[in-house]
Amino acid sequence: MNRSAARELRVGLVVLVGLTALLSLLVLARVGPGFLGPRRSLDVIFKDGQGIRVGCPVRVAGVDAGRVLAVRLVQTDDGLRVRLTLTLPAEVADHLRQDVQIAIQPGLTGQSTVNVLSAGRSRVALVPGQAVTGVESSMFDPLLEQIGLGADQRDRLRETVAQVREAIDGAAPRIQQTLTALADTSTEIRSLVAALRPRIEATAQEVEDIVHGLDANRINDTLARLQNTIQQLDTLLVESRPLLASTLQNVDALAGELHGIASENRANLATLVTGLNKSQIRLDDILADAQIISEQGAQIATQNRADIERTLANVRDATGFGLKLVQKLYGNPFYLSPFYKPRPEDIAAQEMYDSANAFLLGAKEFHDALKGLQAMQGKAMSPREKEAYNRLFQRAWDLTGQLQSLQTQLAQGIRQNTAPPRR
Amino acid sequence: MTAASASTPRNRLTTNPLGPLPPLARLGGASLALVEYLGGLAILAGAAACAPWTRRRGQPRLLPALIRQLDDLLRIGLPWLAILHIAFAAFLAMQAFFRATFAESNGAVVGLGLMRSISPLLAGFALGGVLAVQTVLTLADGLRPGLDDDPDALVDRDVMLGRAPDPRPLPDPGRLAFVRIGAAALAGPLLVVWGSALGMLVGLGLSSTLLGVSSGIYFGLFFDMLRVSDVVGIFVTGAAYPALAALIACHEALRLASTTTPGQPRPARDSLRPIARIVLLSALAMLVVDAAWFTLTYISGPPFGVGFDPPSGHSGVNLGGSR
Repeated sequence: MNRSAARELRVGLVVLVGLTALLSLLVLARVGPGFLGPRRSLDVIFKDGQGIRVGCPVRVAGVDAGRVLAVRLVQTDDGLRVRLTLTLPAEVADHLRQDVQIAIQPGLTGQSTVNVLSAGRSRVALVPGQAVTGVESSMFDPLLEQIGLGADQRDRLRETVAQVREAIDGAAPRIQQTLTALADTSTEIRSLVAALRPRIEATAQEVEDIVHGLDANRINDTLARLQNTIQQLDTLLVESRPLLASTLQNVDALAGELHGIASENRANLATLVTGLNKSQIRLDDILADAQIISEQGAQIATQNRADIERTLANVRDATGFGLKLVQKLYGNPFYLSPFYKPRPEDIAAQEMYDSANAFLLGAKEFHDALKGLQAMQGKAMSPREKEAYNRLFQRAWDLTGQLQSLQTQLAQGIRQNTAPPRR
Repeated sequence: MTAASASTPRNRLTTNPLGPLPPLARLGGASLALVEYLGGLAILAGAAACAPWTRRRGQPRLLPALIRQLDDLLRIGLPWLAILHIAFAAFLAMQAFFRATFAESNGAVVGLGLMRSISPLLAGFALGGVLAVQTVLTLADGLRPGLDDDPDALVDRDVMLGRAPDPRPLPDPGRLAFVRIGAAALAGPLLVVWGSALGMLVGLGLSSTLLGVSSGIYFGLFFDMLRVSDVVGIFVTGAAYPALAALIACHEALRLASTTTPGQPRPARDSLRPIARIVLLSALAMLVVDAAWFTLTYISGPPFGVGFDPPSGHSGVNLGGSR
């Protein structure tokens, strides 16, 4: 080997090393920005890869910061998913938190990108090798975000729907049990109604008969009377309205005065209330004593009722005699004189007076009987009883006429017998 | 095969008087040949880089030689690149016609497609072929004095008639390479700009006539998506690809020239293999450089990542703020 060849070999080795270094640099450069600095990889799992490929850019805050290093399919509990391995500068990856949000953004030209939407706010950083779940997105996300249906909102909506579905799934057996119980209850009610129906129909028929039996005229009369009473009350209210208004004004003024008095004499009132409280206590004691006494009195009255009633009758007779005596004295003051000797006219007047008293007593009793007879008019009676009642009432009415004529005659007789003698 | 050619390193490694070499020995020989080839390329590139600063008496001046070389390349390159760009621009513009892309994006597809990759590669491939043929044909008969001289210069009658030896020294390989590499590096960006501009016009014509795209939309989207790296790429890749082709062509031609016996013409068939090797190797080198440029410019991004300022009060970086 001559000198020239040896020289070419030495330089060739240097060139080869240089070319190898260049190729290594190109291989390194495939991982994207920061390929000469420290890097970290991150696994993200997506439901829909949207055509993402190895080498697609990873954007942080809209700037290319890394690359998709690998795309693999993985089997998870929810089915087949795509697992992306992203490579990012370690300086950027250290800022990603546990709640980092990463989405795939497809482009119109077919070039998809992986976007780190949010680095997350958790205090815990991502653990190396940890796989996070990506945010599902679509090409229309920017438009959907404008109307409030961004990825976050859709996630929340999806969670809400899942919760509602879970709640429905949980409540479904109970609802089914309730429906079954309702069906059983309705069947029982139906059978009960079927059993009660004849009785209800019979009762309705009776009610209908009662309604037919009602006297329409009497009802109308009653209604007319009620209406009349209401009219009278209205009239009374209208007439009394000024009085009521003035009364209310007076009450208002009185309340104002009372309020003023109360304000002025608050201390006195407090003392009064205290005194009233004390008086109330005393009254309570007195009432308790009175209750004891009344109980004793009641006991005594119960035991001696017959004696009391007899005593009362004697007192009543005595008062009646006293009253007559007073009336006699009023008619003749000399009645009490020991020298008084009644004349025949006085005896006749006294007899007339006694007869009039007896007549008045009888008339009063007859009047009470007549009232009782009138009260019986509203009671239900058979036609026969009605006829007897009418007859009795007619006789009583006739007797009333006779009594009036007798009263007139008595009044004339008394007037003639008590008239002063003509001189 | 001549005795001189048998003494070259490659032939020494691949021929064995004891018989065919075992496969491992052949692999090792090929590896050594590759390393030696790369070393030869690097040494020649270094010599060419140093050529402007080395003065040697009797050597032709570099600038006139470079201009003459550039003139030769442009004479061939301009029409050739025009034809190639018409074809490729039409192909790109028709992608929208075939619904492969939007009609409105035709300006960006044609313009940026040409500028970012197609035009530099086309210029490199085209000039690689031109340089392969030109250089090999020029140097296939060996190095001789006055190789890159002005063709209109007056030569001594006795020397021209062969009655006296040429007193001028043999041309320096570094200077020969510098002229060709320099001319190719200058011609490349010119041809890329020319081809891209012509392709844009062709694309506009097709887009407006076939797809009804206005010139405003056509150029609007093109300028919207144009990056600084695209403009830089025109000059970097446009110069690098033809320069690589020129370097490989010079290396191969000089290796061929070193095996030529003075005064004994070489059969044309012997030149075919070096020409083919130049074309293939230069195309391969261009693809490697193109991949490296594309990766480092458009894929990798900043080698140490986007700047990350530490949080300072309310002006700190909030990664989640873009939602």
